[in-house]
Amino acid sequence: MKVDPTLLKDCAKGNRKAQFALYQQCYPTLMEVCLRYRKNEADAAAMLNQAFLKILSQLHRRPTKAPFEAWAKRITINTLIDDFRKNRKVKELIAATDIQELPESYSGVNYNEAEQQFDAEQLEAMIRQLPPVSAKVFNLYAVDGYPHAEIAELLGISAGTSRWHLASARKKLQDMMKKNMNSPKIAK
Amino acid sequence: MSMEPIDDFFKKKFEERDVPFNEAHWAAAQQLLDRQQARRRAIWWWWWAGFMGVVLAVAVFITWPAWWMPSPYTPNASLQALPIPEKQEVAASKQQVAKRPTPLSTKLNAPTTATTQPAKAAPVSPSPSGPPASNPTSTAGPLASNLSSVATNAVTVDSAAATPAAQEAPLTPLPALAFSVEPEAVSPAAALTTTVKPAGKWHTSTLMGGRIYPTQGKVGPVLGIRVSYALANRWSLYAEALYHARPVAPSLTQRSLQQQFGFGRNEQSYELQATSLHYADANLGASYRFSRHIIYAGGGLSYLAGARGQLRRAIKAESAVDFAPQQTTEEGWIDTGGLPDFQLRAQAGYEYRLLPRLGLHLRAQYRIGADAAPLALDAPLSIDVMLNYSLW
Repeated sequence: MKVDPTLLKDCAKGNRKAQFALYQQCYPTLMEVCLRYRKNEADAAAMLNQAFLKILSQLHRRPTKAPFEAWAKRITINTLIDDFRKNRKVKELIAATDIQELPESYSGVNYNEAEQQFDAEQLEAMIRQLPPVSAKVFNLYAVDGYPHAEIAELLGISAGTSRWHLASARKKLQDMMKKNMNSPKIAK
Repeated sequence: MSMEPIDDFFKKKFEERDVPFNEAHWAAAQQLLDRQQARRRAIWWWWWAGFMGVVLAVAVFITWPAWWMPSPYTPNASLQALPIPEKQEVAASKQQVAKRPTPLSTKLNAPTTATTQPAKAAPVSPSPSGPPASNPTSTAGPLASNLSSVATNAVTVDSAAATPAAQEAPLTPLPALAFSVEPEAVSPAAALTTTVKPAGKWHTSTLMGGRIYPTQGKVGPVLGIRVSYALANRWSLYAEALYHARPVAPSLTQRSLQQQFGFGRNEQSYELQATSLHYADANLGASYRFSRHIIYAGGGLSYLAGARGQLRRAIKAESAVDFAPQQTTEEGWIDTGGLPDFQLRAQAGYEYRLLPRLGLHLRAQYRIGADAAPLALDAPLSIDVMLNYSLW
């Protein structure tokens, strides 16, 4: 996603046409992020729009050296996590999570075969089946590349708890993949 | 950061994914943008209104007491010579003469003629107890006002009293002078307005300030001149000639698409976007004043004299269909086609005279009839906040 600097200037001035052009350019990348973090498309679109408003309002604060895509993606993830943390029920869920012994690493999935069998939407459906915190930790660490320390800060948990959630998520996902390797479809 | 094969697998799959654009999501985003803009405008509007309110309150506070505190020394006080009463034969009895102390002048062998010092003016005072009531020579008749004081000779050197002949001489009452303060002159507001707007006279003033468009959160400068003619009973007629500039969010006013067919098809599209509109206004109306307050009502006509904006040109060649069109943007005065030339407005205003020559003028204007302007440029309500400085 390469964005013309003049387009960003026009967006900052409030030019609606330029804003539409930027929205179109950002949409695939940012919507993909939102779909991974939310349970359905409508929720994801609502979060995308909130993130887009933040992007527009903070354009003047954008570090000039930072690539626009990475910066916009970070704002979107922060918006998603902020919304997640604001949810009281989820907070209670985090508090009530029973941290057990770290599961052993599990293997047995043929990724070449999985490559042929699963598409992104199916994998997304698998992540949605994970417990909320485990799903967030897996997304942040495995897909978006956040370190445990930052994940811990974002989610308000300890780094050790983040590691546990990641291991738990990996094991559950591998289980799901292995279980569905031979079945052609996974419920989305 | 240790990556497992499953992490790479998921990351790669999501990076390869292409999410198709959904127009409905953009429509929802537009609604959010509109709501955010409206909220910002409202905040700005309330902030501006509050600021102007504070300015007005401070101005009133500063100027009000100076005009309404009654001054004990009014320049309109006038001297009136009261009629001198007829000479009265007043004779002192022998007993009174006997009790009278010997004047100093007698001892010094002063001339035998009675000399009288000219009357001294008593100080003007609003106090009703001003004149000395016990003075027997105070023979003032009915005075023009309650606020009066009688001048008398406070000191009389009567050397004639030393001689027996003079003891029988009649005492002559002195002429009396009185001050009176006319009640009409006390009202400071009357003096102020009389200075500013003499009845039946032409009056010219300049107007300077800003025009606020609350629905769009924009402010443009206003500059002009007002000529008014004062009628009887505090009424006046006024005529104004004003210039005002109205900044607008970049709004499409005209668009044209040209296609050329040669070796393939070339498209050139032109768009004109207005960023500021410049108007000449003519207003007529009537005003009514009471004290320092003036109420205005009337109507006006705005003529769109010019517009500034951007000319955007996009060139797209068929051979370069996979590439974005080349765009150029130029700024300057643009054609006003597609915008209404004239606008009729009804207006009502209020002015507070801060100083004899300076007033703070607030005026609301509402466009009469439908506007042919694009929706983004439509602003039926506007509010003028101006300073009115009287020239002559």
